[in-house]
Amino acid sequence: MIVEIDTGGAVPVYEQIRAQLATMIETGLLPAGRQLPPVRQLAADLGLAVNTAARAYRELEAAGLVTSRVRHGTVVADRSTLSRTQIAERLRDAAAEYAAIAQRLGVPGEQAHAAVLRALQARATGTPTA
Amino acid sequence: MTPWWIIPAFLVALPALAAAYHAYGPISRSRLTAFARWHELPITTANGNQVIRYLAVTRRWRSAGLITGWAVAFAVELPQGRVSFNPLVLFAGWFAGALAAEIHLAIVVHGRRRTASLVPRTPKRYVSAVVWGLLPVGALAGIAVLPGAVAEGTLTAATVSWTALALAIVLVVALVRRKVLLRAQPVEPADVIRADDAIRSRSLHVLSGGGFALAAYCALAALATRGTTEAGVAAVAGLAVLAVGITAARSRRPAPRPAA
Repeated sequence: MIVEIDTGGAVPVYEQIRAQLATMIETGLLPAGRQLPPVRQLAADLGLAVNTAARAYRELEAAGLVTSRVRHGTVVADRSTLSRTQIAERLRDAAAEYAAIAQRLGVPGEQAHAAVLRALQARATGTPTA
Repeated sequence: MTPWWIIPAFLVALPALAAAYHAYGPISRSRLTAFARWHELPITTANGNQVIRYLAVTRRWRSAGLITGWAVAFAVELPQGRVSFNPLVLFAGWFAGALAAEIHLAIVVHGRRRTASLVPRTPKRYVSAVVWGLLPVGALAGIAVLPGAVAEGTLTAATVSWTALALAIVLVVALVRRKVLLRAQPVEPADVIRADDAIRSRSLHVLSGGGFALAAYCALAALATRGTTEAGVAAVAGLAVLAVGITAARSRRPAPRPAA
């Protein structure tokens, strides 16, 4: 299980981390009680300032998705995972957001669709997207 | 007439050249195989260069540290008109080189797109609790000398200096160990991750064993300044420290399988 960021993207890096972790937690990919890497490890692996990774964790904690305790690190909070309807809603929202970005960039539908398929394939095989 | 400095210069230059030749030479296949066997690590086309680079960088820096220790030991003794080599200084030089190598290995250049695994890297993944706990033992040994010296009224500046040195060594080694643990581990194929774990494990064993031995030697030196320790006891303690340090540094933990 990995997080992937693009430091040159329009979305702030901490938000990229937060969004990916939030999705993994809400869909049950990261189960309750699962320990997340320490902030310093995540920051070192991603080549970021510690504060950037810490902000992503803080926001997840504020949303009730993780809990942080001294000596125990950050673990996924014990909460019920999303229902099928909630997952469908989130997927629809994310798709709408992606469609809006693609439209703003002037990308044709086929190209946008192919990009999504490539990203899904890369995630399934565990290889980072180019 | 031969100038007086020719012989000392020769004594420093010859080992320096030998160390440089050794440090910059190629890594032999047998050395690579020994590392792989020790860590139960299958060497592949993807991770071969990674292990060779680690072996080359550590050997280069440790050799440079050793020869620096050699030169320092020589430079300290020479003005007093004698030529002898303090093994502690040589070891300290070698270990300083080992620390520098780990700092050098921690330098990673990141691209625009970056990935990170969500598996926490904890010490127990790489070393046993006993080996990891040796460094605090070294710190305690350093501190333990002080109360006795104060109670007996034998506390001198030398005692305090050796104790401070022991604690400084423990602090520096603890920081470098932490750096090794947090060293970036990009998301790569499983064989590369296993090699990275084996490298991290080897580094932590060497740092833990070496750091303990060096700190404990400083604690023993602090004890010796009190003048109440018999030479035989000190020698036995010194050998025990050496044995524990070497055993810890040479011990192993097989490379863990990458977690999901």
